[in-house]
Amino acid sequence: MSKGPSGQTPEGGAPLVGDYPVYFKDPVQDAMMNMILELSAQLWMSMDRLYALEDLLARQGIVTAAALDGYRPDAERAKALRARRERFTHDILRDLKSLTEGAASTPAGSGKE
Amino acid sequence: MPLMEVDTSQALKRENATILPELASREDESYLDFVESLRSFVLDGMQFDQQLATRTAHLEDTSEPPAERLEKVREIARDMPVARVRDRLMRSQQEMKWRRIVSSLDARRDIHLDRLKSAEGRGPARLELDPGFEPPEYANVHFHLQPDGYHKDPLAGFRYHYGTKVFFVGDNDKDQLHASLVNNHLPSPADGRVERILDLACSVGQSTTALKQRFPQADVTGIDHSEPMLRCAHHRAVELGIDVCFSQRLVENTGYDDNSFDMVFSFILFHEIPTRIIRETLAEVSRVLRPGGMFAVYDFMMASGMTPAQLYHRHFDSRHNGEAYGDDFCYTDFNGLLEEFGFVEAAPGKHLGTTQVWYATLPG
Repeated sequence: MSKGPSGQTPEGGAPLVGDYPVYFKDPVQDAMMNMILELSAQLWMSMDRLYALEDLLARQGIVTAAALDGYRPDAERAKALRARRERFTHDILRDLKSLTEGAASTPAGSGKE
Repeated sequence: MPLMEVDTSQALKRENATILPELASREDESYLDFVESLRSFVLDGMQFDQQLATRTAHLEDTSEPPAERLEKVREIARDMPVARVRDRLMRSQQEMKWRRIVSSLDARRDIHLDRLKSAEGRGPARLELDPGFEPPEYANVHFHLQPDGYHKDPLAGFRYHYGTKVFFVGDNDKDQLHASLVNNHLPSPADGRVERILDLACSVGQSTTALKQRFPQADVTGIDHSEPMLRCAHHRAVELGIDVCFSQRLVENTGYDDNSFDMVFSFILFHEIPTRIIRETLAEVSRVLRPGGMFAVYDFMMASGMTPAQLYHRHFDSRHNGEAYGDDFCYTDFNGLLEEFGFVEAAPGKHLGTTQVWYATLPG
């Protein structure tokens, strides 16, 4: 995979940020965030695999790797799976929703409850 | 905050189908499903827009120049930790998406290339490639951070197609968005004659095939500068059994005869080209569209009508998501340009989500 876009566009346009933009004051925070996202994605892959396994176990009683790779949920299960996925994503990231100035400016251990 | 808020119920009844590129494993599909949910969370679940709107309510007045409003919005957002998180997440989900799509397609690269090759010469769809074609310099951009851009990798069309599946967070898995735009939001020319249709910058041909399904009697041609996109579009149309033509041409210099099309369709093209090419394309459309024909443009809304949050998102997209020419389009007066090149309003325009629609024609 080639590098992402860098520098100016060929004909005017907007100045693009580089390949590794930093959004927080400390780039470690950017890295930590990406690690969390990647962990979450990996965890979802495992959970998804497990759900597929459970479904196949229930339906066939025998599980093989090929059977897992060939697994496709029916429409009803796909809908349920999507709902679980949305819930999972929301649960992992819900604290970000309340990341307001007030919450961010109250350091842990300040004595305030 | 979907790109477009359209009623897709009628479109779905037509059972439009897509041919999504097949990933290497179910694990890859799972990973990208997560990215889709992450994107959905950033767009809606995080409620960033609501927080920003509360802080920028005094900037809702659209009489102030949008560039000045944007600077004030950005200054406010700089003091909001949640804005930095939102930007980080938005950038990260794009990077995660492309990493996985590219690695998954590359894992079966030969199979995908064989698939494109085997579609060559098969109908009913036709493919016209120009062996001497040189992609324009202005297109050397990694639009939406897509690795290698739109034309430098033979699998660019497959990458793009799966990328848009994630982008539309599942709302376009069966091309229902394209079908809805064509079936529910596209007026015919006043005289009803639709024999030839030109789809500008058709990419993988989702709107091209939707146009053919809406106007089965018409000869429908999709043009694009990118050979990988056109090959993917052709393969997809062959698999769907739809008789359309895909041709490698520039939108600003199509090579078609004067007055040769009854309808010219443009779906999210103009924000991807620099100002000079916007003008040249409008001149070209005014040449190839017959008097009384329909020119339909679906694109980003003008900055002058944006809310503070929309201005913030547009700025982020331009700088951090490879929308290199987005500002060229959004900060221009597209209505004025249409008028300058001889177009008049054919039907009232409208807003669909964060996009805007123009229906124009040429006086007889």
